[in-house]
Amino acid sequence: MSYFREKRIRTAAFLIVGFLLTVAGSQRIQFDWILMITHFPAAITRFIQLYLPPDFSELGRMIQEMGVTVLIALAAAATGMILAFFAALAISARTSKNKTLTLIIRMLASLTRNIPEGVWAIVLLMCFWYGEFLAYLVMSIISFGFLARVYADAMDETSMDCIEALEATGASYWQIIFNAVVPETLPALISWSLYAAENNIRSSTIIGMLAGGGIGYLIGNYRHFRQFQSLLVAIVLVVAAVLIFDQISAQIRRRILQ
Amino acid sequence: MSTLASNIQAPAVPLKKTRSGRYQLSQKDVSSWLVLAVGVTFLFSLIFFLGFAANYKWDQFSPAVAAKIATEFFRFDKIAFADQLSILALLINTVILGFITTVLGALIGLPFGLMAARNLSWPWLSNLIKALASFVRAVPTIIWVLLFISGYGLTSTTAIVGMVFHSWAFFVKSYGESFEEVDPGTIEALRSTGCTSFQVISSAVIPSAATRIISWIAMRSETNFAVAVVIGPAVGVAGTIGSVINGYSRVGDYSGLGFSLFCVFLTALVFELILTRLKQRSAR
Repeated sequence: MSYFREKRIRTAAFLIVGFLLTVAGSQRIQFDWILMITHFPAAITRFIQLYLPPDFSELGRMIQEMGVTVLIALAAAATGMILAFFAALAISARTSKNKTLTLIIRMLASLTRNIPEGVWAIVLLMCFWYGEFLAYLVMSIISFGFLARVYADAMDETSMDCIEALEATGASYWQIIFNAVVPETLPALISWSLYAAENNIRSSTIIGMLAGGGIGYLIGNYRHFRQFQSLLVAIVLVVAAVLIFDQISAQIRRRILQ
Repeated sequence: MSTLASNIQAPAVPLKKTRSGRYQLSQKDVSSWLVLAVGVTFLFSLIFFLGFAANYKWDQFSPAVAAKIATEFFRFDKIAFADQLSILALLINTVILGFITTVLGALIGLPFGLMAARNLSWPWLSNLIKALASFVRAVPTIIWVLLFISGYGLTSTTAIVGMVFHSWAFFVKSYGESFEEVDPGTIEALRSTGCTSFQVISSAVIPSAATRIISWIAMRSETNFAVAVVIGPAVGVAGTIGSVINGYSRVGDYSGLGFSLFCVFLTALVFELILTRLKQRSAR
């Protein structure tokens, strides 16, 4: 009986501490719980007043920019793929040869991954200029950080047998990589790259608002000039693109990974 | 005989019965073609973008600024102590913003997660909630914040309401998946002893999914922290570290920028380390 009681007390203490932390935190950042609930219907009404009916007059331009966004996302994922492949070779325990190189690449990947994409956009904006190229650069950095980690995990799962067998025949390092590691991990690598491209499309709104380029730039503009009815159309377009891309990549992933 | 049978392995390609009743031995293997096609698409879009679409003018790149960033970024001694303290306070605010959003999303998501789990609810309800959640998830978090500015103004309440929407959808999906993996035998055993569905949920479903739920919460805290950093500059909600980063970059104070960036990086790293630890524990 005492075990259950102890467990119950621990759960209660955990909940109370969590509750107190939440209350203290909301005091600190002036988050208004009551306003959040009571004001919600008014917020919805205001949203309907401002955003509806949708204005389709600039749909052609939006679709064009959406195409640019998808192109940038794919190109950035490809860049991330190529760089992350070599980084993962250095990180993964199966393929790494040099301890210092492993450490350096690991830190680099962690740095690129743990700084949010918006912050990368702000920092790189200072030395590059607004536009598609900056968006591409930021997305490549983000994709690289993400892909380096998952590629290294995928490579860690390759069977040692193939590698050892090839080593015994006297194959060189790159022969081993391209004849044992790559064929075994390629489906996983491709499916993670699709995921990275999808993430890029999602974050293109933030990146576009801050760095320009693609549909995010249009969204930022519509907000600045208070064209909320066009803004809604752009948002719906982003959602549609994300959902379609999600479906396509899920289908491809299912075929590839089986 | 039994050892022999166990030594025979199933064929790699399962036999498929055609409509005429014959067994088909060879199957078309689409997967390698598909891998190649996707890879070529990626590479083609890279070449097309860099070669034709980007048209970046390299005189827009300013090496002077890059050099200045490289030299002054880590001069933390150049920032006044009071500024350092205020940056740290804003960092704490950002963490709190992410924390409250995660807590709210996790709490509101719990009943919906139960309704979305196929083994605990009706199929139509499960499908409905899953479809709704996947729609909400397709809208980027920053857009949700943007949509609610018109209602709540530029306050932290706006940020939280907007971010809670996306977190809610994330939790519905992840809770639903974790609950569906709960052993059906346990649920059935409790039901057969006459437990109410509340008792089944509180003493079988949630405890057995608890480790996974905690790692979902850690994962979402990491994401919400990253979003909370950028809502300042992207949408205009003040009071997070992102606004300070944006301000420093406008003024050109590289040491202040470096320090706040370093703070963000360290916090995100701590989140990632916690998440890795939790994942290892739940894998065991």
